[in-house]
Amino acid sequence: MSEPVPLLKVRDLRVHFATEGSLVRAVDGVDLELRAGETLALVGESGCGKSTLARALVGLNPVTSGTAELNGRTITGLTRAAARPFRRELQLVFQDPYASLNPRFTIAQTLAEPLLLHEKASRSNVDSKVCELLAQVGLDPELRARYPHEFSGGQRQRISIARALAVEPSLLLCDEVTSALDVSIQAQILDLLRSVQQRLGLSYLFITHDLGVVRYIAHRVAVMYVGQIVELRDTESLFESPAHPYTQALLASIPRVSRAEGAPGRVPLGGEVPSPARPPSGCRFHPRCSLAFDRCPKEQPELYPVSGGSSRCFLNH
Amino acid sequence: MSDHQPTDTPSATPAELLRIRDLSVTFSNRERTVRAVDQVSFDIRPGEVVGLVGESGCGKSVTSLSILGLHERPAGRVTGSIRLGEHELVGASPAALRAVRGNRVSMIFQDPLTSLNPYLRVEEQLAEVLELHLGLRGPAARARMLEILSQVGIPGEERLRAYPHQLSGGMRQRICIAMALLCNPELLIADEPTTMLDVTIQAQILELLRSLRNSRKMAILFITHDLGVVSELCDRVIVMYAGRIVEQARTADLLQAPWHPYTEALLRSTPRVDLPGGGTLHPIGGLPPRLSAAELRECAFSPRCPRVREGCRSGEPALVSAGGERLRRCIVPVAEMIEARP
Repeated sequence: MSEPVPLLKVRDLRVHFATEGSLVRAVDGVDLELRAGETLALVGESGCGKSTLARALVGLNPVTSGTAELNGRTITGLTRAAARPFRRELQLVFQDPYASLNPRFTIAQTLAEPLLLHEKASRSNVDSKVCELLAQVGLDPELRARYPHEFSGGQRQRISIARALAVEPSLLLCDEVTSALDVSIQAQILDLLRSVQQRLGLSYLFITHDLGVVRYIAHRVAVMYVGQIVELRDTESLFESPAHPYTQALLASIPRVSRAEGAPGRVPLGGEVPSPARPPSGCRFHPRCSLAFDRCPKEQPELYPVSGGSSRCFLNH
Repeated sequence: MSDHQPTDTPSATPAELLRIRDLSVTFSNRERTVRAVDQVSFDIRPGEVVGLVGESGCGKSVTSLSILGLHERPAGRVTGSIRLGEHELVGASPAALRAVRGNRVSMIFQDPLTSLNPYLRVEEQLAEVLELHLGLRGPAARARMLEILSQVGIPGEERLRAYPHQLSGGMRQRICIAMALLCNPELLIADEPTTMLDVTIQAQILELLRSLRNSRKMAILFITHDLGVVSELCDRVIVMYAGRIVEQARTADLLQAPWHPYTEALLRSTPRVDLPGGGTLHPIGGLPPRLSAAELRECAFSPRCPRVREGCRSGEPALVSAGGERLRRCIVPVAEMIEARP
């Protein structure tokens, strides 16, 4: 397997927040790489640090230590001015398209702003660029004089995607982009993201809690637990043979349409996710893990190689 | 037009707990009138778990709020009949509804934080219910609180002293369920109670509801958009689209072979965690119809239906029996639904 230079390379990234009397280790030593044209899904439960990680990459959260490189150039720890050229390369799309679109701007104004700011269009051709963008996300360019409230949730998410694409990024950070949508509309947006990726060769860092969506859209998956990646695998390897006990529990918890009627099918994972301000000693999953043994509370496991990726569990060592 | 064939052959089925007939709910403002629920009829038997499924705006929550008379007046106008045992709830007096709410029918919602009073400790919220509904106070009330909390998996007294913001999302939903169970209701209405929870916590709450249903023989009307959740918990499923019931069947039958193109499309547009590549997705094109108060001249799903044909546009099909307990509102022959995928 040849190793092309990764588009995004994250090394030992930490994002810690000081709060009253405690230090919240929201992201605590994350390493990952993302290749051009690849979709990497970042999954985990609320508070695992997946959104904080994405926000740190675009400069919305300060990085405590570690680095992130885009095409070999460091993008973390920069001044605002120095970071500006990279802002265009990484675009963030959020869960709630209504909250992320300016209600007083028409769609044409919303799309024209980044085009002009990043000099992807001039005053004279901005309108035709706007129409092109709308067509690209499957919206009728005739609608460009309308305001966000005149669109449905799915259409608004298409507009958010069009705005992100306006500046010709190389990486889209998608944070729960389909979570607020009905399934029939979610499927439309997932198909749109897939076809945009094929056409433009974009990479996606795709944050979601929905593992069905992950299996559909991602090439590789990183599972996070209390600020750390516990498993990083090719999508099919992960779903066919999850290596980490947390991933196994996560997959077992998902209600399935194919489950026979009334079959209990699973033992729910007990307890709750620990606070990132007080992560458990050793392996952070050990208090909830049915396979934990004497080594787990004492030593922190590393990411050990398993087929199609790596897993942070002594049992995989 | 009443198109529901009542299924109460007196010998076979036990008497229903809840019997809804021709329920319609309209909302009006100065500009327009919208019929959010249109001629809905169904039953819930004692101890039965019924799933009410559909996408945003299909009328599933409006239907459930009607049962407890929780629509704001005069905006929402409810017609038809909702019978709980021998009591008619449509048009019932506020006093009569109060006697039903909490005592015979309880409800839990999607967001437990907004359903709990942020200024009151857990014990104060529970005490209020016990005093108002059962007249219990002091040690008797406290004993009952501890009993109910242990039933929802919260052991020990320390949680009684907590304020809602000090609890996790899963814990808050357990408190809401405990509150709903205090008066031993015959029916629990659960409106998307696990939608805001993480999957591992959702699994815990579903397991809890399943065990409560078994131990208390309590009926549940479970409102959700997630067919996976339905398959885990529900005996029967009712699928709604544009304010109407389009299909009703036993859960396993419906999930194995949907007999309405909308149910089929819903299943086929859901990414599958259990299939390689997440399965093949078939998005439903277009958008749900804009509701109005006008009579429909065609099947509500026909503009988006992959199986649409000539007859679909010449009047709305009736909801008719398709054998056994199955009902469907579609003219496409069942045999065709089963054999060929469009």
